[in-house]
Amino acid sequence: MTAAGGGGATGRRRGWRLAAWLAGGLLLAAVPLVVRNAFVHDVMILTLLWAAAASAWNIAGGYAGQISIGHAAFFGIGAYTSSILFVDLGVTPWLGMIVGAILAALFAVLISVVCFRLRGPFFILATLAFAEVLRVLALNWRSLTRGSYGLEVTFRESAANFMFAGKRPYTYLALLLAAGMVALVRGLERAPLGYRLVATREEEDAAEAMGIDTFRAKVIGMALSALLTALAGSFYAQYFLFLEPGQIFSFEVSIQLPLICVIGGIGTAVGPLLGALLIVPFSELLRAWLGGAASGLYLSVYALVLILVVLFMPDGLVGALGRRAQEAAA
Amino acid sequence: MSGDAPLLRLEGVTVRFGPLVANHAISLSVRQGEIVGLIGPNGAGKTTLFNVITGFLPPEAGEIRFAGIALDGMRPSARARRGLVRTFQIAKPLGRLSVLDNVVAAGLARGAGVAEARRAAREVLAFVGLEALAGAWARNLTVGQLKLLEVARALAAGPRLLLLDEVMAGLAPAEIRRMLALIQQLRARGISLLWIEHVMAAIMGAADRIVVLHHGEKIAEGSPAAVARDPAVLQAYLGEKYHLAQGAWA
Repeated sequence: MTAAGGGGATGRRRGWRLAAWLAGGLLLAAVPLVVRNAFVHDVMILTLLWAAAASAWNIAGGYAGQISIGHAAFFGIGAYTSSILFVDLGVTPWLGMIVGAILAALFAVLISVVCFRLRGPFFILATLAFAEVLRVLALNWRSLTRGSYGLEVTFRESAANFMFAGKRPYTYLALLLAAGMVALVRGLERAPLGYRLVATREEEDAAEAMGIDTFRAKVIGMALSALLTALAGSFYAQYFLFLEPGQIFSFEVSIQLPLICVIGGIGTAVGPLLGALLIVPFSELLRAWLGGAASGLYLSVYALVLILVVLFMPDGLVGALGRRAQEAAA
Repeated sequence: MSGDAPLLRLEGVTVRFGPLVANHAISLSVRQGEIVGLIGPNGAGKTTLFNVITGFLPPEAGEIRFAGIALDGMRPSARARRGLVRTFQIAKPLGRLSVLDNVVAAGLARGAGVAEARRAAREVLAFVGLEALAGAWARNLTVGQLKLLEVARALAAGPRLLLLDEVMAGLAPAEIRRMLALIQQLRARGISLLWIEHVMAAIMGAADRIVVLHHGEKIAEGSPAAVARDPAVLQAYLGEKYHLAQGAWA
């Protein structure tokens, strides 16, 4: 569906927009070819990875209106499933990440059936609790996860193992993942399921009265969101090759996703990408510059950016940019 | 279904909120093509009855059948997909969607494809006179426009029986005339109506039959003229007598 106002976009405007996206995409794709600096690659990979994960969160939080601060649960299920299957059973991570995604979706259905009786803040707190439960479980189930000792994924370079010597392949895969996620969400917006999710978010009773099974819509939205978040989790595992429960099933991961969406534009297809582009490189640079001297400072920067966005751009970057475009067109 | 079987039939429907009996043993029916008015003073239990019929509230006792099927335990959405569709007294727009998308969402819920739902939505918007606002955000509409959007969305959902909950409340006289014309056209389209209204002139003129609720009980039922003369109804409306009489003879 088109955001109101944008509905009347002329063919020429749509053409320009497409051209702008293609140019932006090509530019991003060219960066890894030109730049050899490992740090730049690192920042790009992380930015795109978080953009992808935030896009996945956005389906439940932004479109279906089911705000979760427990998506680390799904991220972690993806990361641990593909890694354990590879390390213990030799299953290729390409297959493992699909298994992880399915497990995450099933877990989401389970959570949903329990939590959707709760509304508003109670639902949000329940999602946090589920992520915490998984963290504690991962810490203590040492035979499976190695607990706090950490799960090291042995590096055996091979495309079949989703492991590469240089950073460039990871950069391209991250680009593919993020672009695929944005395109998927854009498609969802125009599909019947997207309408069902948004109608449920906007006014549950009205949605139900017009024939939308809102419970079903929310469960499907959450499951899809979990499935895609798990894919990002597996990618994370393949890139860092080390998992530790406190880091993976962390509140930091859970809060990062909604934060990126709010900054970029919650409930919009490109919002998570814009949000990640703004905040991830910034925090990585700060982390690099300040090093261990002020290890928590980037969090303060997050907070500052969030406060500024809420104050001056309540609809996120997408909302602010959209308003500019409309004013310019008027 | 035989031609005589009512489209909607309520038998002894009772709803209680703690000690308060909101609906007491209500029985009523709506036949195919009929316009049935539901009136009564504020707090009579009219909207509660709508909530029970459409599945938003479970009844404590009684049975509701629609098109020959018992509805107990069925979700509101399942009832809507069978053609039992309502509007809300206080309009519930999908605020951050365009007017068009509000109506498209309803068409999709019925199982149509996106292209088909968009085409049908434009037609419905033209029918209710909102086509010029198709691209506007629903939350920016006036009360009158929101009421029309409620009706448009309900129509897009494909109703056999439409439950209208005070679609004229808060409207200007010109808007009331327009809504009334719209309601007459709905009948021509073969849609049956169960209609709650406080604008007596409108409902008394348009309904085939009137059901009167008071303190949760059905106190009268009959033609608008007969109901307007009924002593029990006049008693219930004490103080509002003037409006009722005016409506009946308008």
